[in-house]
Amino acid sequence: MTLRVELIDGSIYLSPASLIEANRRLKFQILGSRFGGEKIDGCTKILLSKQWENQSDCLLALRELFEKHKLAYDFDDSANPTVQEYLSEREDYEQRVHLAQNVWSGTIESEEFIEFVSVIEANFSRRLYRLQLLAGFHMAWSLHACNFSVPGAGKSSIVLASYSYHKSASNGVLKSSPLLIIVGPLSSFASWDNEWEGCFGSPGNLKRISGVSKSERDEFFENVLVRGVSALPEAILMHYQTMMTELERLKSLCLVSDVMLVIDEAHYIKNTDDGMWAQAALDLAPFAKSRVLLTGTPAPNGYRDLYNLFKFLWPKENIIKYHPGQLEEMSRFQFDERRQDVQEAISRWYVRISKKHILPQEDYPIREYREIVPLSSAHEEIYLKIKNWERKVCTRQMMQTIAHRSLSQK
Amino acid sequence: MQTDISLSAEARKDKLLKELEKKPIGTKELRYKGQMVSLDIHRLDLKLLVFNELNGRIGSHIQTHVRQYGQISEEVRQVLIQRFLWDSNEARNKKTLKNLEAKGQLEPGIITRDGVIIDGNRRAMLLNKLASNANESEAYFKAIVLPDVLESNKKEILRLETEYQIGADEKVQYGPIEKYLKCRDMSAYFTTAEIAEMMALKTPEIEKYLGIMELIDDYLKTIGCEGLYTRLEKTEDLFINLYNALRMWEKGTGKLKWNPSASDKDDYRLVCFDYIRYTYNHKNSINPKDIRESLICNSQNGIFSHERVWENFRDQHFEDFDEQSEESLEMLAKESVDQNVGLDKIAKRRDFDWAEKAHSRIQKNWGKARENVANRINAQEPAKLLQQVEDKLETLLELDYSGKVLPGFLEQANRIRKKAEELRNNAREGMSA
Repeated sequence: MTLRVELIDGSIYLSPASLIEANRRLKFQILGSRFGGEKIDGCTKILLSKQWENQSDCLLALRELFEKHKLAYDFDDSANPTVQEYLSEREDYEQRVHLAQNVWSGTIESEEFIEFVSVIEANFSRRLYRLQLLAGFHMAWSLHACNFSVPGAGKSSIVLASYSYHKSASNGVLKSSPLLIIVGPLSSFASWDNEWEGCFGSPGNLKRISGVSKSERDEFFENVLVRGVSALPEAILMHYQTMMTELERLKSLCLVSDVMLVIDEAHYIKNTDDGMWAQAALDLAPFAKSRVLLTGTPAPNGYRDLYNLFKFLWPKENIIKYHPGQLEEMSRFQFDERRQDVQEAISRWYVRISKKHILPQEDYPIREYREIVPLSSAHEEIYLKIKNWERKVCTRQMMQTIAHRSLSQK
Repeated sequence: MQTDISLSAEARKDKLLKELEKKPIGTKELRYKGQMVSLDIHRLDLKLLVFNELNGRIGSHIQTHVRQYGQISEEVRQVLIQRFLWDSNEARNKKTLKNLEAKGQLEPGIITRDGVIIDGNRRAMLLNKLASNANESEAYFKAIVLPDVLESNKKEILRLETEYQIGADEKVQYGPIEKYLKCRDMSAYFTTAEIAEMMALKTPEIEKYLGIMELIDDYLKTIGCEGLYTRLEKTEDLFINLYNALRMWEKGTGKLKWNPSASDKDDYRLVCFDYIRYTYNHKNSINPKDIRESLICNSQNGIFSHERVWENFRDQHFEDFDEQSEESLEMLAKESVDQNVGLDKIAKRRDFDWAEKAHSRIQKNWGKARENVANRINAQEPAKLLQQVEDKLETLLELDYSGKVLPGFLEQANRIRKKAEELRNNAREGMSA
C-alpha cells in the first residue's frame, strides 16, 4: 500500500493513517510535536497541524522520513512540484559532486576539458599552465568551488577563466553574460583591474561600488534595477561592508542576471559567532547561480573556520556534517577520527595549488647560498636585551619547576 | 464543595448576585488590570461558590476522570475536586485545618463575580470539611469579589491567581509537575516574558518549563496516558535531563560526536521515553543515575554521543519494541472486576506489566551499548595520552632548556626517548601484524 501526501488549502494530509499507525517510530514522529499530526475523518487521514515556516521544508522532511523507513509514498499533484524542484536541485548537486571529484582527481581527460581549454585559449591573452586550467575547469564545472591556493598561484586568473567559460560556453549553466560580483578588501580592487586586463588583453567594465559616494551607488542600483541587463557592467567590485549594507539590492540584482559571486580573501567570512559580514555573505549566497571562495588561509585557527565557507558554497547541503563546536573540538585533538570525515567531505570542493606546484623542484631545483651579515649596532642592542631577558625568565621558570617537583616528591 | 445542586448554575449565580448586593464586611486593595483597586469583601455561603477548574492541576484531574467515566455532573465534579485538594497534600491540609478550627479564616480568598474561587480553593475545601465534621449545614467563606465573571476575563484572572500564588508564603507551593502545568496554561494568554514576571522567574526558566511540559505531554501521549499527570510522581529529573540535553544539541553546544538530524532526535526521544517508563515501573530496573549518565545526558560517555553505538542500540531497541498498541486504559477499566478502580491505578498496573515484559530485552541491549561506549572511549585513550605527551614536550622545547645543567635532566630525557622508541616499535609491529 502507498501513503498519499496531499496539499489542500495550504494544509498537508496523509492517508491512509493506518500505514503510519503500523510503524511505531513513524507514528511517534508524525503524531509528535515536530509535525503535530492529528487523526481526522474517523481516523483514516492525518492532518499535519504544525505550522512550518516553510512548507516545502515540511514536505522534504516527510520525504526523508518515508525514505528512512522505506515506506512507499506518493506526493499528489499539489505537493509534487515542491518535491520535484528539490529533487532536481539534489540531482544537480549529486552530478556536481561527481564531476568535481573526477576533475580534480585527474580522471577526466574529457571532451569537456578539451572544449574548456579551447574556449580559454580563444578568449584569453594570458597563457594558463595546466594546473590553472584544471582548477578553472573544476570551478566552472562544479559551479560552486573554493580555491585555497598560495599567493601567486593565479587565483584571480582561474576565476576569470571560469567566468570566461560561462560567458562563452554554448550550453553553459549560466546565462551567456553572467554578472561577476567580487567582494574583497579595497586593496584588491586594483589587482582585479590589472588581472582582467592581463587575462583579456584590454581593460574590463568593472564597476566599483565601495569607496564611492552613496548617491553614486544609489544611481548605479537604480539604473541597473530599472534598465536591467543592458545597464550591467561586466563585473562589480565591492567591500564586505558594502555587501552587508546593500544586501537587499544585491539580492534584487541577482534576479536581473545570473550572478557569479566571488568572495576574495574569504577568511573574512569565517566568523561563526554573529559575524555580520559572514551573515551577509550567507544570506546572499542562495541568490547567486555560482559561488566562489578565494583564500590562501582557509582555516588558520582550525576546522571551525571552514564552517561558514562551506555553508556559503552549498547553503542547502550539509557538507560539513558537524556544528562549529564539534569542529573546534576536533581541531584540539589531532587523533580525532572525525577529521577524516571533514577532509573527505570538503576535498572535492576545493583546489589548492601550492608553491611546489608552481615551481616543481625537478624543473627548478632549490640551491641554497649563505652569507653572513653582521648586525647593525641598534639590532645588536635589541637582540642582546631580548636574549638576556629570555634567559632570566627561563632560569626562573626552571628553578620554580625543580622546586615544585622536589616538594611534591617529598 | 457543597455547591447547592438544587440550583441550576444560572440560579446559583443569581442568588450570589443578590448576596453581593448586601453590605460588605470590609474592603481590600489589590492590584487588578494593572492598577490598585479597592474591592469589597463578603462573607458568602460556600454553596454559592465553585472551585476553579482553570487551575491546571484541578483541571487535569477532572479531565482524567471525564476520560474514564464520560461527562460528570456538577455535583460529582465538585466532590472530586474537594477530594483531590485534600489528597494532594494531606499533611499540610491537616495542619491548616487545625489553624482554621482554632482561629477561623483570617485572610479572605478571591472570587469572581460568578462565584469561581480564584484564590483560596484549598481553604474553601477545608472550611467545608470543618462544617461537615461538625455536622453544620452551612459553611461560610470570606472573599474579595472581583468585578468580572471568569469567562469574560480569563487572562486577567489567571494573572491575579498566579501573582497571588507566588506572593503568599502560606500557600502550598507548586509541586514539581504543577509548575509546568501552570506555565502551559498561562502560555495560552501570555508571552513567556509576562509569565516570567508574574512567576518572579527569568524568561529562560519559563522557556525551560514549557519545554519540559511539552516532553511530559508527549511522553504521556506515547504511553497512552494523556492527561494522567499523577503517573509522573518522582519522575521529574529524567525529563529535566532530557530537555537539557536536547536543548544543548539544538544550540549546537553539546558534546555529541556527530550531528543528528531532527528525525534522529525523535528516535532518541522515543527510546528515552521507553527507558523512563521502564526505570520507574520495574523493581529491578536500571538505576536512574545510570540512565542520567549513559543515556539521557549530554556527555561523551552517552550512548547517543557515538553515532554507530547509537544506531546499533536504536535498531536493537526498535526490533525489541515494535509492538503497536497496548490495550487502552478505557478498555482495561471496562474489563476490570472492580468498576471503581481509577484510571491512574489501571495505568500503573499496565506500566508494571509492560516493564516486566521489557525487562530482559532492555537489560541486554543496555549492557551491550554501555560496553560499546566504554570500548570506544578506551580506544581513544592512548591517542589522547600521546597527544598530551607531545603537547608537554612542545612546552618544554619552547622554554629552551638546551645547554642548561639540571640534575638528572639528561637521564630523564634519555628514559623518555627510550620509551618513545618502544612505543614506536610497538606501533610498527602492530601495523605489520
